[in-house]
This record gives sequence, structure tokens and C-alpha cells, in this order.
Amino acid sequence: MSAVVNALELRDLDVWYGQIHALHSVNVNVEEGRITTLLGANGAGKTTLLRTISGLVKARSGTIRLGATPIQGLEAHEIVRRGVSQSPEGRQVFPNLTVKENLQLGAWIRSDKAGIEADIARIVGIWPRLGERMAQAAGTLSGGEQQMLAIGRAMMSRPKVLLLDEPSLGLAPVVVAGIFETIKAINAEGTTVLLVEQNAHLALRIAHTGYVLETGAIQQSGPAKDLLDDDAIRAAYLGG
Amino acid sequence: MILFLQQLINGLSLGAIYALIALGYTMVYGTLQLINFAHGEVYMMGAFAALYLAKWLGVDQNPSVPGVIVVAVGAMAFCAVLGMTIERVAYRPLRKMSRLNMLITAIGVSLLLQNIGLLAFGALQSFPSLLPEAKWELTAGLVLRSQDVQIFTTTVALMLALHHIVERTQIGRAMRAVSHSRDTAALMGIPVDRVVSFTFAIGSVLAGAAALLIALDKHKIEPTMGSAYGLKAFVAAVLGGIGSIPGAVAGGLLLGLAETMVSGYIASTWRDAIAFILLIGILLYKPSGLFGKHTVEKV
Repeated sequence: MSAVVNALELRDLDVWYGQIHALHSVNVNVEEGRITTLLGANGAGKTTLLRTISGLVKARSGTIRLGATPIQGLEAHEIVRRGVSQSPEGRQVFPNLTVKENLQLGAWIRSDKAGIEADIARIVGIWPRLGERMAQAAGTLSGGEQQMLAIGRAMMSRPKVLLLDEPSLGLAPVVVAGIFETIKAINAEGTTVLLVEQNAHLALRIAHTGYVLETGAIQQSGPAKDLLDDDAIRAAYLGG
Repeated sequence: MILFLQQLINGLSLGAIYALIALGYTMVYGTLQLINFAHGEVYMMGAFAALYLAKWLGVDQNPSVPGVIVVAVGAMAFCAVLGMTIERVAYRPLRKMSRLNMLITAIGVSLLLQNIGLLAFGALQSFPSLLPEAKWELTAGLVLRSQDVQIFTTTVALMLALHHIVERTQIGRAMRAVSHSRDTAALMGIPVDRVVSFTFAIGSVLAGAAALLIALDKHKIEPTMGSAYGLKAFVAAVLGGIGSIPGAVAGGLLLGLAETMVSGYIASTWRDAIAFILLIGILLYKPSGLFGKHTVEKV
């Protein structure tokens, strides 16, 4: 275990929205090469945490380190350049742009045209349905296809750390199962993943480490399989 | 029939100018949901920039095509810098506040620039002929002027260029992404501030081109020209559906044609009224404009 390195390290992170204390001195380690999951109910602060990592929300205090480098306070687009990309809550594909244009924008920070085309081909290899819909406006895709596109788009920057905000949201169980398999595959190829989920059962099954966020504070953390067996977690998030 | 064709030429010519200016309103609205009331003044400043540049370079004494091109590029570049400066200084600091703050600031910038114009340039100034002018009588009573040809060809060329930028380039894709969601665009690694700045630059360049075309046509420019043409172009943008690029072009041409047809067939005194009659009509029956998407304002 001593060989594990943190790809992303959050230390004593405090975030305020005006008068609302959204995150209370949060500490999270996202281990390199692994899947870390952040669980919690609606409104617990999961999305705020991801938005803070991505630089869309500024922390009042605390540090966010990517490897050895502090990245808190950098602009959102600069954080992508450093190697952290996000598939945001609600998918947020650009509806008027085609599937291909969405993927091309995901590769904004890159200029290697051949590499970009190869990565688009790779994503089509994972999700052939995106390939069939390449020239279609992204807004016309089904929810599951939009989720695939959102993850694929986030992969296009070749991130070191991939942040996924509720990829299961609003999708049929069979579609979710496919998406979670892909998340595992992406991770197996070397990308570190921080997965935010309400679907605790699914998330804990593919993750190595889990954190539980409640009203803006980390309540519990540990190896995913321990959390799966934990009675309190079972009662609160796994339906008993 | 001759009257109709003549007013068609005049209307397309006027409409092309409205369309060029309307594009600036609509693109800025698309990215910031701001009605940039200072846009008309950028157009006005473009005309004066062209005048002083032509005088300084001596193009007014020795007109030549390369000379005009230098004046055009110079005036358009001046407008680009002015538009980007207005965004940087006046709008960007307010972006996180209520949109009303930015709107009121836009009106303030508009008044400021207009009064700077009045102080610096005085009232009406004549604009020299920089290009040879000709009139062709196509049939008895139907006249095509070289200025109309200049306006058509320049407008078509600029619109093709704009279409290429918006639809085929990475910066164009970024502009469309930013107009959908600034946050999501930033998550792609897109430097949103630079894209907004670029949008102002493009809109201002088109206004600068419109200003030079009008100056070469009418041969008189004044510091208040921005409010007259600016307001009409804004109406054109709303007619077409504010935020929509094809809408701005269609709205501009429609408004130009409506104005010239009304002056041809009814009375020229009704010319300005028709713009606002159309505006009221569209706001009553299709508030999102001809090409606008119907959106429900979320409360």
C-alpha cells in the first residue's frame, strides 16, 4: 500500500456560497491509477466539490494539489490544461453542436490533429452509437448517448484525472451498467477517476476507495469494500 | 414594376448595412445575453476612423483601390480594438452581477462615446469619394449604383467569412459553446474571456465595414449616426431572433426592404415608423423572432 501516490489531494477545503458554508474542511485523497468515489445525498456538496476542483468555484481556504502542484485559484481552463477534466452533472453536452464538434471541443487544449482523430476513433470504438451519430446535433441524442458523449468529450483532453459527476443520473439500469463498465475500462488503461455518485452500490463496486459526504463534510471514508459492508452506509445509501 | 425593382435594389443595399451591424448585436447577445447599446457608437467611430485615416494617408487626395483597402482594414482594426476595450473595461468587471447592471453600463458607454464624438469631431462632416463612382441604367428608370455593388459584394464576402469562422473553425465552435454555457466551455479548457473578447472583435469589425460602406455611399458622417443606424440594426436583430446569426441577416434585409418599399409605395415619412411597427408586431406575435428558438424564461 505504501506505493500508492495521490494524483489529487484536497486538504482542509472550505467553500462558501455567500452566507452558506457549502464545504467544511474537506480532505480527500484521489489515488493515482484508481477509482475513488464520493457518495452523498442530494445537496451534500458533491457537485460543489467537483466544481471547486475544476476551478469554477473558488475555495475560501485549503489546498488542492495535482501531484505536487497546488492548483487552487487557477482559472478553470488552465486546470484542464494541467490534466484535470470533468464530465459535469446533467451531462451538459453542447446541444446545437454535432457529436463530432463536441468531441473536438473536448480536445481544445491539444493541437495534434492526427492524435485527436485517433482518439475520436477510439471513443467510437468504445461506443459505436456515437460513431453512427457523428454529424448529428448532440441535443438529439438519447440521455444515455449524451452521457457517453460527455465522458468521451472529457477524455479528449487526455486527462491525468477524470472527474465524473453522477454519470448514472436519469438513465435506465442497463445503460448505467454499460457506462460503469466503461469507466472501469478507462481506469484500467491508466486514467485516475474521481466518481461522484448517488448510486452508492454501483459506485462502491467499481471503486477502490470511497468517501461519504454529508452536508458539506466528510463523514466516513475507507476501502470501497469495507464501506459496502458497513451497516450505517447500508442503511443510509444502499437501501438497508 | 420598375419602382418595385428599384426599391428592391435600394432595400437590399440598406438591409445589408443593417445586417452587418445587427450581427454585432446578436453575437454579443448570444455570448453574454447583453444588448450592447454601445455597438452603434463603435460603428460611428469606425466611420470617423476611416475619415481621419484616409486624410492622414492622403487617400482622399489620391484615391486608389489599395488605398481604400488600407483605410478599410485600418478602420475595421480600430473598431475591433475599441469593441474589445469596451468589453474589457466596462462589461467584464460586471459579468458576475445582475445583467441589468451591464445593460445600464452599455447605455452609459453609448452616451459617453457619442458625446466624445460630438466634442472631437463636431457635427456633420463630409466624407470624400475614395473610389470611382458610376451609375448604370439597367432599363429605363432602373438605376444600379456602384455603391450598391460595393455594399452587396463586401457584405456577401464578409458573411461568407463569418460563416466559415463560426461553423468551420475551432474558435467558432468555441464561440457556439460559450453561448450555450460559459462554465461548460471552461471545462473544455476554453479560455472563455478570450472567446468573449474575440466575439466583440468580430462584431466590431463588421460594424466598421458597415460604417465605411455607408460613408462611401452617403458622403456624410456625424457623431449621432450610431444611434440612428444602431437602433435600426438592433430592431433587425430582434426581428430575426436575437442571438441567431442567420436571423440577424434575415432581419436586416427584411427591415431594409420594408423601409424602402414603404417609402416607394406609401410615403417616405412612414419609413422610420415601419421599423417600429414591425418590431411591435414581432414582439406581439413571435417574441423569439423569425429564427429565434422559443425559450421559456425560467423563474
